[in-house]
Amino acid sequence: MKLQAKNIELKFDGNSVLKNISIAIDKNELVGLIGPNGAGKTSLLRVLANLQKYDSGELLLNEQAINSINRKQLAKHISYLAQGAPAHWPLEVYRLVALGRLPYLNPWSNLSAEDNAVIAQAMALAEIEHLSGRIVSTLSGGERLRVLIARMFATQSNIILADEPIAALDPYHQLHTMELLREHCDRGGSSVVVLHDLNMAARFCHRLVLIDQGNIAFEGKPDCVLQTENIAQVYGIETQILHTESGMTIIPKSRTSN
Amino acid sequence: MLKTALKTTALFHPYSVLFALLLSAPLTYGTVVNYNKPVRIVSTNLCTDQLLLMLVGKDRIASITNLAKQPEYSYLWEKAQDIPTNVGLAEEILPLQPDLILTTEFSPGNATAILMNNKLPVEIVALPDSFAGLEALISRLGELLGEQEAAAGLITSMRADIDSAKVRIKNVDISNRPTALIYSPNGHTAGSNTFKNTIVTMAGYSNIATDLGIEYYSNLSVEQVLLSKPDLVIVSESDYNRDSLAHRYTDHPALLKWQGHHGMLTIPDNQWLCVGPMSTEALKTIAGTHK
Amino acid sequence: MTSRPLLLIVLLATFTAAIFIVELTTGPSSIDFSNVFMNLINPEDIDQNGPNSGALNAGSTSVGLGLDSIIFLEIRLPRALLAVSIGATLGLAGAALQGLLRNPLAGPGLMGVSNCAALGAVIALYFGWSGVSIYAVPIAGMTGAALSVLMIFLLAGQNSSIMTLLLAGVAVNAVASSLISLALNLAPNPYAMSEMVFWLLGSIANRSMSDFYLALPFMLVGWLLILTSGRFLNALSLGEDTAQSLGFHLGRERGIIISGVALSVGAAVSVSGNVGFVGLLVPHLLRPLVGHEPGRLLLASALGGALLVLLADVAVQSFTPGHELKLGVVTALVGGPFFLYLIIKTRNSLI
Repeated sequence: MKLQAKNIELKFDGNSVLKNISIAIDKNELVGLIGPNGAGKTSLLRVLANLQKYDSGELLLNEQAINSINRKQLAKHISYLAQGAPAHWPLEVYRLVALGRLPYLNPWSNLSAEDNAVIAQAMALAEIEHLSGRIVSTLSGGERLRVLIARMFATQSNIILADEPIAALDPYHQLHTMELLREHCDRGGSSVVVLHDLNMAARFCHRLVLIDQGNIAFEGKPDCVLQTENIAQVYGIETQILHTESGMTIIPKSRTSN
Repeated sequence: MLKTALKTTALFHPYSVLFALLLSAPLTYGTVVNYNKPVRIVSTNLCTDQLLLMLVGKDRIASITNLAKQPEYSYLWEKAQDIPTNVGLAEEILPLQPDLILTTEFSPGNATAILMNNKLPVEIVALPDSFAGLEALISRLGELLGEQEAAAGLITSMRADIDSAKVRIKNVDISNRPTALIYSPNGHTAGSNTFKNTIVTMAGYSNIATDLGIEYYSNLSVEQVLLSKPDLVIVSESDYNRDSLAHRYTDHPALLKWQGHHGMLTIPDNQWLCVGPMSTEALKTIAGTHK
Repeated sequence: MTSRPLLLIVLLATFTAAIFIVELTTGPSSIDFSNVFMNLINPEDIDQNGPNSGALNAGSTSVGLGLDSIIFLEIRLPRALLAVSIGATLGLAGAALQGLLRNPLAGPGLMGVSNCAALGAVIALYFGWSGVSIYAVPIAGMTGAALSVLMIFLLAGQNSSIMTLLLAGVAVNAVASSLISLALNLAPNPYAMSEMVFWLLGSIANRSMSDFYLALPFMLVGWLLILTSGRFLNALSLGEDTAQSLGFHLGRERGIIISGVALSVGAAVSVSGNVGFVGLLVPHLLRPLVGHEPGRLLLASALGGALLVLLADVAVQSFTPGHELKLGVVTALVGGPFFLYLIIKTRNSLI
C-alpha cells in the first residue's frame, strides 16, 4: 500500500506549521520522522493518519484520495498510535487488543472465531501472550506499549503510524518495540514513526525524513541524512558519528555557538 | 344635638322647623356618615374582604387584599376586579387615610400596631369557625359599616339556605350516614376541627378523614382515597389555572374512573375556604346529592 | 470469557423482574390479585350506579373486583413501570457520560443534566405551555437536558480533568436550581411554590399511565441511541485520536450520545423530577464486574439503575406509609455517603 502526501500546507492561528510537504511511504518501508521539537513531526503524522485537516494539498492512498474513502475502510488500512500510548480504563489485555477488530464489527455482532484467531496471532507477534489476562494498568511501560502494538496488529492494517512510541521506555523495551515495527515492515507492511532517539532511528529505519520548521530539510537513507553538518544545521548541536559493526552511533557533543 | 338646636330656635313654626331641618339635613347627614358609615374602608384579610364586598358598594372600599381578585381563593373575585389592593402593609394603608380598617389577629407583621399608633380606627375581627359565629360577625359588621339591613338580609338568606339543606337530608339515616371524603390539589383533605368537616356533616355525610383520625388537614395518596371507599368524593378546587402538579391528585385517571361511577362532586374551593355566606352554596350542593 | 458479563446481565434482569413484582404488590393496603386477574380476563362493566349518582354505594363483590383492578392498572402499574424506565434511563445516561468524558465521576445528577431538564419542564408546566401540547413538558425537559450536556462539554471538553468536570457540574447545577426556584416563584399558579420539593427531589407517586406513555417514546429512542454507541465508547478508551483512527466519526458519535442522554433524561425528569445519584452510583458499582469496558457497562447500568430505583421506591412506600418520603431522599441517603467514600478513596488522584 502506498500512502502519499502531496504539497501539504498547514497553518495554526496564522503560523505555518507545515510548508509544502510531500512525502510517500510504500510497502516494506520503516520511515523515521525526526527533527527538533516543534518542527511539525506530530502534525505531519496526524495529517497522514487523516486526523488533522490541512489547508491545501492532497492525501492519497494507493492513488485514491483519502477523503473519498469510507472511515471504517480506511481504519482497516491505517493504524495510529498516539503519543503517550493512552489506555484509559483498566481493561484486560485481551479485551484491549480485541479493540483492534472494531473496524470489522457492526454494533451488534460479537467477536467471531476468526476475530479471535487474529487477536491471538497479533498477541503472538507482539510477544504478549503471557499477559493475556492481566489488567493493562498494572503493566510496565514497555509491556503496555507492546499491548497497544498488538492492538494495531489485530487491526491487520498495512500502515502503522506511531508518535514517539519509545520515548518513555528502557533500552530493552526500546529495542523490542523497534524490532516489532521492523518485522511488521519486513512482512509487507509499512510504518512511519516519529522519533527523538537518533540512534534508534539510524538502526531500524529504512528511510529518514528530517523536518525543520515545517519543511523537509533532508530525506534519504540514515547514513545520508545523519551527517554532522545536517544535524548541526537542523538541531543546532555538534555531534560525533561513529560507524560500528552494530550500526551507526550519533553522539551529541555540544550546542553549536551561533 | 338636633333637639337642643330646635329648642333654641325662636321661630317654632312647623314649616320653619321643616325648613331648618332641610337646610341642616346635608350637614347632619354628613355628620351621620362620618360617624356611622365609613366610606374609605380597608380590609386586610381575604375573608373580611368577602363580607365587605357583600355589605357595601365598591365606592366605599378603599382597598382589599390582592387575594380577593383571584378566583382560586375569592368567591367574589369578579366584583373585586376594579378595587385597589393591598398586601397588608401599614405603608400601603396609611396614605389611604381610611376611616375603618378590618383586620384579623393573624395579620402579618405589626401593621396593626402601627395603624393604631396613628390613631386610625382598626377593628380586629375574630374569624368564625361556624355558622353561628358567622352570624354574630355579620351583625357586628352591619353595625360598623352602617348596613344593618343588608346584614340582616344576609343572615336571613343564610338561614333559609341551611333550612333547605336540612329538608334535603331529611331522608338520610343519621345513624348510618353515607361517607364522604374531601380531596384537594396536592392530595389535601380536611378532617375534624375544620369548617369543611362541619359542612359535610351538616349535609348529611360522615367525613372519612375523621374516621382515619385526621385532625385539621393532611394528605392522602390517590390509592388511599380509593381504598377508603367513600360514597362521595368532594373535589374542592377551582377550575382555573390547572398548570401545576397539584392537580394530578384530583385529576388522576384512577380517581375519575372509579369515583366517576360511584360519586364525585366538585365544589369550588372559594365557596368554603373562608367561613362566609357563600359557604351555604357548598352546603346546599352537597346536601343535594342524596337521593 | 464472555460468559461472565452475560451472567451479570441475567442476574440483574432476574432481580429487577423480582423487585418489579414486589413494587406492584406494595402500597397502602393489600389488593386482591386474584380479583385483578379475573377482572382482566373477564372484563365486567363496573358502572353500577350510573354517572355521578352520588351517595349510596353498597360494597358488593363486583364493585370490589373493579376497584382492585383500577388501583392495579391505574396506580400501581404506572408507578412500577416508571420506576423501571426512569431507573434504566439514569443508569444508562450515567454510564454513557462516564464513558464519553472518560471519567468515573460524571453522571446526569452531578453534571446538572437532571436539574436543567427539570428547569425546562418547570417552565413549560407552570407557564401554561402544556395547554398548547401535552408534549410541551417533556420536550422542554429534553431541551434543558441537551443544553446542559453541551455546556458541560464546552466547559470541560477534551481534557475533562476531574477538577474541571466537577466544577463545571457544580456551576451548571447551581444555575439550574436557582432558576427553578425563580421560575416557581414567578409562576402564576398558586401551587407552584409548594411543588419545588418535588422537582428538586423527585417522586413517582400518584403518576398515571398517561405520564408513562408520554415519556416512553423519547426514553426508548434515547436508550437506542446510547446503546448503539457502545463500540465507540470502547474505542474512546484509547483516546480520541485512536478512536477516530479506528473508524469512528468523533463529532457524530458524540452527538449521538449527547442526543440519547438529552432525550431519555429529559423525558424521564419531566415526569419524575430530579432523582439523584443513580447515574453516578450504578455504573460505578458495576464497572469492575464488566471488566471496566464502557460498552458492556451500558446494558448492565440500565438494569442496575432500574433495580436501584425500584428498591428505593419500595423503601419509600414501606418505611413511612403515612408521610411518604420523596424518592430522591432515599437515593441521596444511599448515594451521598457512597459519593463521599469515592472521594476519600480516590483523594490522591483527584488533582
